[in-house]
Amino acid sequence: MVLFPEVVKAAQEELDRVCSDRMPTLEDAPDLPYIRGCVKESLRWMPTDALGVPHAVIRDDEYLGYTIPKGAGVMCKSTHMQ
Amino acid sequence: MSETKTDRSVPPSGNVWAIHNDPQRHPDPRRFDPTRYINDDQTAAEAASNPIASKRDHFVFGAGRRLCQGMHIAERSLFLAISRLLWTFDLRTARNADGDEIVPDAADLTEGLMIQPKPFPASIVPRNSDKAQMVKDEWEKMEELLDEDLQWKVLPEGLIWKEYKQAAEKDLEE
Repeated sequence: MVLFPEVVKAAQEELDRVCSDRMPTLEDAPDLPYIRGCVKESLRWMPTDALGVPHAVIRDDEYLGYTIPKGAGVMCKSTHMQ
Repeated sequence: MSETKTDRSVPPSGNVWAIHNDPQRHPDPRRFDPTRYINDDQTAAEAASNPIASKRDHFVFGAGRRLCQGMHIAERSLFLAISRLLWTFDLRTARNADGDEIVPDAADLTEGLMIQPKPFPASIVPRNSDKAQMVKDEWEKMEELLDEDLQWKVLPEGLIWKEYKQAAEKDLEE
């Protein structure tokens, strides 16, 4: 947020208009589309799990000559994902 | 995926960062712009299970059959944290002793499987004394519900996951 002061300004304008002098609650979510946008944008802009979460193989497999035994954890680190 | 064949039995996890910073999906991807989602009314659960990939908001909660089970809580927690922090405080860059702005490097991240920005100085100041007092009063009320390790002894009023309950009941009906 400190890098994007215009976002702080726009968010506070929406909060002041909708909530005025009371603290926002979950009931306000339908009336705060910009804040809901901040939630989604935070997760897009700084994805905590940037490489995703490992999955497990459900049966023995072979990939490019490597044996991947059932139950092994796998991750995809390709930077060419389309 | 280019030049990579993946057997159906090997469910790969996706490269979330690459998708999120694909300028075709999100123009000027390193700009923080909440209006990207201004016409997206999907809840986290609706977006994460949307079969049309271009309608997915992001991929933090995974993809396919094995999705994050806590996304409802994450979504609501973030909504409350972001709305209340911005309602109460002005968040600005910090200044050094000479009064110069200290601009944090958005690419300076912690290392490991889970990432976040490395600690950075910032100026976090209450927008006015009424708001500051209201936060202090609320914290005092909540402190009574917490044990010595700051864990809930009793859940506070209002923490009812109403919409989640409704969604769960709807699933049971279908």
